[in-house]
Amino acid sequence: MNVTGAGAPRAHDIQAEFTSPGASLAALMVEAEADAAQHANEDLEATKQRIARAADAEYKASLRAADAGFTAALVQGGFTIAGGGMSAYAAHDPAGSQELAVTGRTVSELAKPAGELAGGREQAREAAAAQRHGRTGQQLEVEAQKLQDQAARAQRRAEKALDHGQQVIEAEAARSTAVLSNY
Amino acid sequence: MSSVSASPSNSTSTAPTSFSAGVMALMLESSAVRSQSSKLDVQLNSQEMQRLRAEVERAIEAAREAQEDAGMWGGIADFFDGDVARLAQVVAVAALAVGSGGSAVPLLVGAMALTAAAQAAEQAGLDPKLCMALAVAGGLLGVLAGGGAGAAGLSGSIAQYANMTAAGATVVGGGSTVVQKYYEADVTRANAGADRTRAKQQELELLVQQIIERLGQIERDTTRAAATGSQLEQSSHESQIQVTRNIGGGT
Repeated sequence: MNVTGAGAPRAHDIQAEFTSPGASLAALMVEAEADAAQHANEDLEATKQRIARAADAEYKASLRAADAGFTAALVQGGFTIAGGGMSAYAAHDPAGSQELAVTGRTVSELAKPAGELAGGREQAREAAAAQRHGRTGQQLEVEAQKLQDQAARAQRRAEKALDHGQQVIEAEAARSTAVLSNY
Repeated sequence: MSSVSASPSNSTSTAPTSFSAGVMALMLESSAVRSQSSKLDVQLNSQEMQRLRAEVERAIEAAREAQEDAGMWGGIADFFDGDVARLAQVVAVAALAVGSGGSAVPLLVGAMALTAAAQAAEQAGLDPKLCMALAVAGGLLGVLAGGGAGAAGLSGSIAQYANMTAAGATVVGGGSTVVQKYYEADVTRANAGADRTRAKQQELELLVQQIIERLGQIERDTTRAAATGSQLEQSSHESQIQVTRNIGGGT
């Protein structure tokens, strides 16, 4: 068996020539399973990055929803306070403030739609976006766990193939020894 | 012949008698270093997970406190914008009706409702002056409904002040709602922080599982390398014995 390597190769980059089909087959199996384990690990790393991005997006959307909700409350509260103030002043001086009372009531009634426009809709949108990113993150976590199990199984198979290859090579060595002992 | 220098974990040096033994010793030393490094990674990540767990608990506690504050201010907003404003409006309408010769029954209902509101406000722990104002207003209405002295002249003033009270209650309710929404926004922010920290925890748990799997792999590789090295040594030794016997037998 001749083994050559260049620089600091990975285990399955080494160019090997085997003297028996059994050993060659075992080496191919080890290489295949090692590749499968590596691919699963690479997919796992990519999935973990996607999970981190989804979590970050969910966090930012939640913050935007909170800010939009408070903006809506400020605008709605402002309209309510202004309308109530006008109504209170009109009640204090009922002689010539009929228009003021009507304006105050109108301003109070506009409070809720103004709040919706100012931030209520954006709050609902960002809250929905946060929920969506959260669900994506949960799905990716399940996928990551599956990839991890897949990588572990591929590694186990590579080790079994390695054990098999070792047995084949030991059998060859035993045959060589038997041949030598007959001379 | 090759020599192996001492590893950090022991102070002895060994001189293996064959190339394969030397290679095996190097492999074992490499496995030991990798195993130690992985165990250190597990320890560091476990400490980080404990820190993240504490961070999640703090965020949840902050959310709970903000929720309590939001609930309190929401209750105040509902009371003023709902109960007080409505009651004052009822009183204003009833007072106007009495002033123009209508029935005193609505005033009686208003008086009873104001008295009940005063008791509820006291039980809720609101400002004692407010509770007293509500109780006094209920008493005045009762007098007015009973047709006390100067009742007709009072009705117009009561209607005016009731309208002012209704508007004022709406203002207070509006302001309380703003404060309630401020704390609700805090709840959302705290929960978002907790969720983000939990995602980091999950990521670390995956990493720790990977490291533990790697530790198991290193252990299996070490066992395999030791067994293979022993067998190689044994095979080499047996081959030498056979060759020696053959040479001895041939002469």
